[in-house]
Amino acid sequence: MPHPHNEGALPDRSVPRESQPLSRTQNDLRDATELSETDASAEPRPAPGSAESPVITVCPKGPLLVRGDFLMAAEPGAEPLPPERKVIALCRCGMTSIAPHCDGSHKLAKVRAFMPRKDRD
Amino acid sequence: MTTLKERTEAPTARGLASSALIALLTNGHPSPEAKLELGAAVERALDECHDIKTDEDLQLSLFLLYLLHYGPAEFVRGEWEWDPDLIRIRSSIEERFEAQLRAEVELPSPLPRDGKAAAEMLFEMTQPAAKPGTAMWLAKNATEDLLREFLIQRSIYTLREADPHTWSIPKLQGRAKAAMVEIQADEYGGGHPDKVHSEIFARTMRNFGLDDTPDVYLDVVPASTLASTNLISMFGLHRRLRGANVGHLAAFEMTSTIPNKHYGNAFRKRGYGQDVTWYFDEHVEADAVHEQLAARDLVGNLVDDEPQLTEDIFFGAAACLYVDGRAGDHMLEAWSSGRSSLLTPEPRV
Ligand code: FES
Repeated sequence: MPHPHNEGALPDRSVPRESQPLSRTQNDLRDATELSETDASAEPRPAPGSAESPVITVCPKGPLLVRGDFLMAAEPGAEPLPPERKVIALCRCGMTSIAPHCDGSHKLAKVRAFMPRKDRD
Repeated sequence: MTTLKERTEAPTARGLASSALIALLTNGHPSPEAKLELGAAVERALDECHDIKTDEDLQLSLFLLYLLHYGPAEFVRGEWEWDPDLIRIRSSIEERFEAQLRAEVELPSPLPRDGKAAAEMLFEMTQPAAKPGTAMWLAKNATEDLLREFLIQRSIYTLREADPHTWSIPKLQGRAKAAMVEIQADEYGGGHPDKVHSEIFARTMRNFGLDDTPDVYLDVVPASTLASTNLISMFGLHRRLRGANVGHLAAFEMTSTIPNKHYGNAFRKRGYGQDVTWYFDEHVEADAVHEQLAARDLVGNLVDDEPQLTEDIFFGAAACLYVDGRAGDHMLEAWSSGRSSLLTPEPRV
């Protein structure tokens, strides 16, 4: 297969970026974990309702949009990391090929996947 | 690495109008008659034109006139960007382009009355892109030559991805402006030069073995492809058409995820790895976000804040689907009957 001008490898997104300096939020979070046993008044996260606090928007027949100052852990116990982009879309139809992110496949999903159980046929 | 290349050679003319224009732009000291000649040639081309979407001479002329605003290629001599005669000539082509599209595209009727209904209407209009003909065909039938052609066709817009929509940011206010900035910032890599979408595409071209200099393949790309970029430049450069540009951006983002998934698969099927497919993969994830922002925060808020723009927003969205649909049809028709979709079948620039 021809790859005449192959260039450097892409950043591997599966590797935890431990080498990167921690973001402010991560530092805050670490501090918070350490402090929480001794100092309950520490305020590691933006106050609820402030401009920075995470907001989850439920899109009709579509994903959950998450924006604001948040971290995401790929699985229980994994290191929480800042998102790749400022706003992310999390799949809630189960059809995506890039879980947990939405890939637009919900457009091919049955509407009932998005309805509360009591409203389904 | 950031692309800072420029096309050095003047493009090939496709008729009297583009020929007169190229002669003017490449001559450092044009005679006063040169402009008159150009005006007359464009007027004649417009007289004889039946379908401006596929008119090679006029779409190339319009493309070159817009090119002056993006960063003139090296073949341009002199300061032409705001030359009043060139602007007037450009307007005469734009008037025809806009008038023909307004006559040909169908708008939803009745138009939605508020932002929420407008967002829903856009999702409805763009639903057919969930089963995209050209992308699905390519994913199934991809050959090296077709993938090469596909990247060449895409390169005209994508090596300046996002720029023509960005013209509208200063023409918007408040919530709609903020939403557009949020989308465009992500298009520009959120401030990371390596993640600027046009740069990711340039990398795809290089890793496929193609030249990533903007417009280097201009001579082989048909009018239908030039028309789809010209459309956004026209919407973006006119404040009057800011609603249309917003609608165009929304329709563009809302028809992106599933086609890009198929395009990525087409390259994977031929054995290409992430160094080529990243562009497409990135768009699956990014545009799943952008389409929600575009429909709800951008269009939804603009309809609520400036309801008088509603008709133009839907004109822009419908024109995007129509013009890009024709460009896609052109490729699919050629490919499925074993022909090249390019003007010259063997592009080796
Ligand atoms: S919600 Fe979009 S793919 Fe599942």
